[in-house]
Amino acid sequence: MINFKFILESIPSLIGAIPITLLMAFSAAIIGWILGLGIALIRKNKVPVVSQICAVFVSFMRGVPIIILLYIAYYALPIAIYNYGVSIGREIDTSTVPAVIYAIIALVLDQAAYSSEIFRSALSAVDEGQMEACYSVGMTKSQALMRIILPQAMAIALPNLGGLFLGLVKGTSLAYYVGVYEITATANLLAMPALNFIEAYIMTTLIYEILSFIFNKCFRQVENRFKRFRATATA
Amino acid sequence: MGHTYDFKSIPGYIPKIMKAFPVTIEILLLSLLFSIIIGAIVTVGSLSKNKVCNAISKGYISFMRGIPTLVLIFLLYLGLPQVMNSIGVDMSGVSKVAYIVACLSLSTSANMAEMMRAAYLAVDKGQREAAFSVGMKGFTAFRRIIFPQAFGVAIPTLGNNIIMLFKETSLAFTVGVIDLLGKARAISSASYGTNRLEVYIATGIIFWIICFVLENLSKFIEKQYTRGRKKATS
Amino acid sequence: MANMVELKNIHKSFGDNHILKGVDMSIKKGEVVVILGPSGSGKTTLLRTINFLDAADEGSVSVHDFTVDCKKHSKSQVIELRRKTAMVFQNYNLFQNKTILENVMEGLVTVKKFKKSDAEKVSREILAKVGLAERCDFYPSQLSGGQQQRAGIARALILDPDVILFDEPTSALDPELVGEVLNTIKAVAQTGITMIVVTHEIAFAKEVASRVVFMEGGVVVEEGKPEEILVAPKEPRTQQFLRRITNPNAAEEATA
Repeated sequence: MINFKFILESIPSLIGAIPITLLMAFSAAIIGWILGLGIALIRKNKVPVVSQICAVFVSFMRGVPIIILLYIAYYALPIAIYNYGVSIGREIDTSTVPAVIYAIIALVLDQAAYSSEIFRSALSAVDEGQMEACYSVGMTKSQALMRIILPQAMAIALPNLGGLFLGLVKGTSLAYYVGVYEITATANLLAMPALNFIEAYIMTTLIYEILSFIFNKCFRQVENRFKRFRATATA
Repeated sequence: MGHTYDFKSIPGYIPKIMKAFPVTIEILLLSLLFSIIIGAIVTVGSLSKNKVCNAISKGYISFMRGIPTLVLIFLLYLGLPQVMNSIGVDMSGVSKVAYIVACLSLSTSANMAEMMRAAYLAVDKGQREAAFSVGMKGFTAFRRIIFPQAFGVAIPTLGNNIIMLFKETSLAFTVGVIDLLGKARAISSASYGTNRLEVYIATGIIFWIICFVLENLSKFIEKQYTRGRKKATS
Repeated sequence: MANMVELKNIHKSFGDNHILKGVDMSIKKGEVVVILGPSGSGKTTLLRTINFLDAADEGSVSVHDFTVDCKKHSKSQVIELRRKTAMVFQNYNLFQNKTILENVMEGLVTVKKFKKSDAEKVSREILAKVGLAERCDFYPSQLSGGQQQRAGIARALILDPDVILFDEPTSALDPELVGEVLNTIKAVAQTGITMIVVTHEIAFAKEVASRVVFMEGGVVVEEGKPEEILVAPKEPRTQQFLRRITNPNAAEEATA
């Protein structure tokens, strides 16, 4: 009933698809979280107009399922790029843009919105006295942010960022629907000819489980390192 | 591919897509019910002193948190019938909605279990001791003292879990259920995809509005529920 | 130079709450001024207007001949002013992500642009002086309140400020830890540095203050030498406050 030959043969292809999954996850996390931190700082400092725009953006991104974001990015961006080309007098062939770019952009926006909420609450959780202490020794606001406030906020945000990242890795599976050959799409493709669905998806499940196990461990490690200064806070 | 948008047509799609709303709600409510039941069972296991129960519950949660919902859907919808067939069970009678409800219940149950566990542990130990001290029995203490307090703690997370579950119902289209997104895809393919961007934006707006309502509802309920209690502690 | 600190007509409101109603104060170099007053009298707020943690609505603040108008001030003026002052907080406010040594070094490195090695050397010396030589590499969360507050004092001292502001430095401490911190503050006072101390410790004020200021309702009610204010106050409000704080039972009877 289980086709072991198929499993053995499909392993290399499935493993070969891991990099594209990781490419999406890492680039979306890195770019998205930097944007998210920016949004958090803008909203925390109540920058007029921009702050309101960010609030609407975050609310929209949090309300719309990733799959729909992916579709919107996949169909809207080529038109936007084409129209931009026309406006500068060039005809850009949008079919040469790989689908993974659109997927990454959608995931970046999603991560920016979610991480901004995590950063915002982490920044609020840093004791106000810390900022005052910075001022009392004569630091500027940016020195205080960089040296004292952000490192503490980071330590607070890390567990939630870890959870967000694991969700992101899982979310990349939806890029299948906009034509990215990541792990899930590859599994489907391999399974189709002889309908080896059960084998293909057990393998896929295993790969995701291993990935999330590894990332979970990594985040725990980083968390402990960041938290060393609070190690005995409760003791 | 067309290189134009027709933003003005977006509002017109909203009522058409909303025709599938009952399907989405059905999936949402059923999955919510089952995920809470499974979550409660898993929570009891994870809190029990029995090491085997404990390990099973923790393993279940960690497995469900590792697997993408889409993969779980494929595993159950495409894989399971094959396995069952090979042992002589025919699953062709099972509806697509049932598969989706099963998948969403399983994946959400892990979040529900973590929520319940955290809420239970957040209630001060002294509360249970106080309940015993006035002569309450175990279950009475839970029902009258522990649960109401834990529920208050859990409301924001519960609201968040429901919103996430609602968003995940959008995966129903992957097995061919005509939910909100399934309807949107049907509308789009009826016009050969020429209006797909507008249709997807309209679907996005529907999800956005409903999530917005759910979020504010959750905040409102939390406020109502904890109002008297917070005052009492201060 | 006439005065080290000069406050003129300081007004401050939070919303409709008028906290400071025109406070003037002149403090000479080397003076140790203790501000007393019931809670809500505005004493802590006054202290915080000096380094602009709370910017006053009206008036002016001068430290070491550098004057900032409270109504219109630039960011750089505020920073300049803050660099002439240092503060010791009620809740210590040590940087939680830095060790005790790094806490003390932080101002030297980021503000005074010391080389790290130089900053570390003087920081270790000053931490030894407040009795924390063995605790340099601990994080604040690993220390007792008294130790944290002594580190807070070291962090303020190292910047060699023109004036150190103490905001109820012993109020958050367990009773048995108050003594070690007060002793450290006394030792600092003997070095001749200008200090403004908001506190409830009357005995400490008697011993250390060169001047005592009594505030209530956002104004200075009475000021003078500690032996005048604390032993024979002229104003009834001061008398009442001292009675209440030195004899808590009497206060209870009065309010009951």
